[in-house]
Amino acid sequence: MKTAVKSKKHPKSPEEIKTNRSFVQRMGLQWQLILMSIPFLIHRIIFSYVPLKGWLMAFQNYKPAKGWLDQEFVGLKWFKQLFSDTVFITDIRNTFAMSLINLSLGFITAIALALLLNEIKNTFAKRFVQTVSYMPHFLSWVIVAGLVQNMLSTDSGIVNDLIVKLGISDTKIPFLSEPKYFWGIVGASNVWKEVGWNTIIYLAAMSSIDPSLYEAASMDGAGRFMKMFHVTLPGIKTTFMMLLIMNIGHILEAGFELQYLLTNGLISSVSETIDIYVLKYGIQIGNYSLGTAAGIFKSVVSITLVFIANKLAGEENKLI
Amino acid sequence: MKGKIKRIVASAMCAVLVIGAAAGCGEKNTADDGIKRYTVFIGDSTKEPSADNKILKRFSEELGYEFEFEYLAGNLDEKLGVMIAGGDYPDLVMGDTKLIQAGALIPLDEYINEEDYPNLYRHIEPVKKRAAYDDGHVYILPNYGITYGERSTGGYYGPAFWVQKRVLADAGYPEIRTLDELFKLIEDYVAANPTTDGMQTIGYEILAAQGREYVMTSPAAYLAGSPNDGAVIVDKDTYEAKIYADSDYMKTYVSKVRELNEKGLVDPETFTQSLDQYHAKIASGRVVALFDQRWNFQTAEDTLGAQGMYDKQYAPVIPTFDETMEPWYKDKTVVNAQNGFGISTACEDPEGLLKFLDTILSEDWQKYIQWGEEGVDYMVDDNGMFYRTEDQRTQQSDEQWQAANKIVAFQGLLPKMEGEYSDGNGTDPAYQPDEFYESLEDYDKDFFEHYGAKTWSDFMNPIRENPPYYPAWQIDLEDGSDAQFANQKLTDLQVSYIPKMIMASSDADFEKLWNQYVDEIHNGVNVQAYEDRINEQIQWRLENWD
Repeated sequence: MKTAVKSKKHPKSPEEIKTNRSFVQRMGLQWQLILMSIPFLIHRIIFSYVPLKGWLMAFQNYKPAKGWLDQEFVGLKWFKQLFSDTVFITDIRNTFAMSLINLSLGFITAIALALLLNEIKNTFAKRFVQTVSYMPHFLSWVIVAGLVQNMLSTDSGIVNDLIVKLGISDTKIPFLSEPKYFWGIVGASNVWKEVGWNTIIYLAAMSSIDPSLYEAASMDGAGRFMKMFHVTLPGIKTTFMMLLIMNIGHILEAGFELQYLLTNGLISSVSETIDIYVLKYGIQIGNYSLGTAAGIFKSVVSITLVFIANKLAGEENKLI
Repeated sequence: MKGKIKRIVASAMCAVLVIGAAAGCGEKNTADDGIKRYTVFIGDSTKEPSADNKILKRFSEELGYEFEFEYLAGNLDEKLGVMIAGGDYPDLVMGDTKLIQAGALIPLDEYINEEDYPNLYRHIEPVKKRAAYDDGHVYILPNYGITYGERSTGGYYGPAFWVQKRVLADAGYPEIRTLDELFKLIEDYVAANPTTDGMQTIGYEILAAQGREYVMTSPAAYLAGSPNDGAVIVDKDTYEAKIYADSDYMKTYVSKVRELNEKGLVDPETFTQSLDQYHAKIASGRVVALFDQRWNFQTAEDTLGAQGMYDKQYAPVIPTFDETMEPWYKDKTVVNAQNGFGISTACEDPEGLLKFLDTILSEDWQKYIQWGEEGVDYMVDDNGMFYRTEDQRTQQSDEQWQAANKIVAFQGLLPKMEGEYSDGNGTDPAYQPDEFYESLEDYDKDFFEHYGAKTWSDFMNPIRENPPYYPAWQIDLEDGSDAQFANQKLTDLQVSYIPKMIMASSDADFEKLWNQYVDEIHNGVNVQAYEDRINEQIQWRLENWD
């Protein structure tokens, strides 16, 4: 597919090549390109397609002691078990919900911060804010979860201390044992950790906007905000669409570590994601078949969503 | 630009190749220098030995064995799951039925014979049936429970309700028989002592962290006078097992804890905390009482001891729901089947490893590992009895000293002698009469005196003969089976409902949640599959054991 896209831009009048020559002739003309793509093709086959043979496990009663072809086949048993399990259904809901929250918050905050940073003319101040805001990206989730837990603790957590001392509430709020707060906590933690990092790509896109557009806008009497809305935002639209389509492919990955580390019995009905389900009912109790079935479900949904998003993105923004 | 990218790509590829190659070459067990080297996996993350550890040094210099340890980081089941999925095993691995089912362990009974491994043979032969897996083979050498002689240990590490010694002392050293008495004791103490060292006193602590759910789910069974049978209560006459998660026992326990919580005596964070936070709370000395097995919070108690806060350490109490029920917390030592080390199929020289295990099971090595070096770590009196001086005792609990002179984590999984040696000495100080009592702090000696006790076991119920199938908690559910799935579901339901019920604001709420919970157990969990598996195994044991 990649080569096909490239051939369109081939300097030797591509239309002619396409129509008048046979497939083999066309291959011959592009042999350098094809040769160059072979290593990547091999890489893909080895790491993305060969492991697909493991999908067989989802249709078997897989026991690690036996070879993968000596297993007992059970048809769709595991899929039926998955979808008749109310916990799994709740987990799908949780995954989608947290993912959508993360996705929308992630985009909004990153673009907002990038827009603001872009307006700062003092380089030092800009760099400083940028660096400080993207530092948390390098922390591992284990540390972030620990921070969140300490901050929100009812025992001596700073958030609860503030709430009580500022008189917002008389009693401390048990953030981590009330289901209604959990998605918000996950969303906020994600924003805190990733917002700076996510701005980098937008800032890069903004810096490539032709300055003459801004000049022209000024001539037409546009102020700062007008320029932001009519020049900067349209300027990063393609970047935005590309990131959106790519992220939609990951929508069933709402994250795993944070939820896993912050969860407890009181809030498991909102905190458990598909990945945690796979871990608990697949890997942990040695039911690899069930885990694989859930994995297949995730892949199928992701691929479908990517195609839908790609279609909706319209002709000029298409990735595939 | 192009050249640069090429170089980067090329060097990245090289790196990948080199790493792959390094990981790919398995090392032979016997190196050119004649030293046998083995990799070891220990499913525990505490107490690693230091690099110049005395015992490991002797293993290397005198026996020619060296070990490369890998300790657990995170959840054991996950680690084993990943190990099995990848098929990559260390030589000597903390055994687990998962590994047996995956065909990762070699059947040791096929190797162990009287001629080649006399000590191992002596150790394993009498308990072979109990140590065997379902298929009759012994894959894992039990780490505990193979005893020599009749002597019992001075320590107690099993299940009980644990109450701070200061609380019992304060109340005049009472005998606690029922749960109501215990909760009353907690209530009175907290009312009189609302703070501990400037922090709020916590009445009752519960742990619901992953992998330790039993702290929250199992007290009801003990309170009902059942021994440690895991998630089931087994009928004492018919030997039929039933889960008690939906029983009246459970309901009574949970509702009583709810009443305690209503009085503000249960830690508000108790259900959201991790194991580490739980340990930290106990180590702060402000937790009045809890239910647990002592080994699970031992490290926190050690911290209290290191700070000299002996009165804030714990003593076991063994209440039941009412006085008609006999407590059965302490059981007769059982072979800790399917726990300990197994040898993986990846091990190239299992005979060498077995030879090592055989050697260290000799009395001389056992004395060295468990007591230490004569004249340095312990003394011998005129009658040939071992004892320790005050200094020798104190250093035993110093963690840094331990790291250099003991192999705590390794020894925890190795097969070992327990009871007495042929010369009449206890296998370790806890098995030495007098030495155990002498090793106690003055505070404890005084405390023991008030109860007329000499050992921690004296605080427990008198030992009864175990039921013939006992214990049911060791029954393996088989990975990927319906029984296993049901068990996980049941645990999940408990982890999500019990905290809610305990935190329910009114009796009506509690009743509503209880009905929902029982309803979900009956409709959402294949309890039948779980109970069938347990009963089938109990029947098998009744037929095949002894």
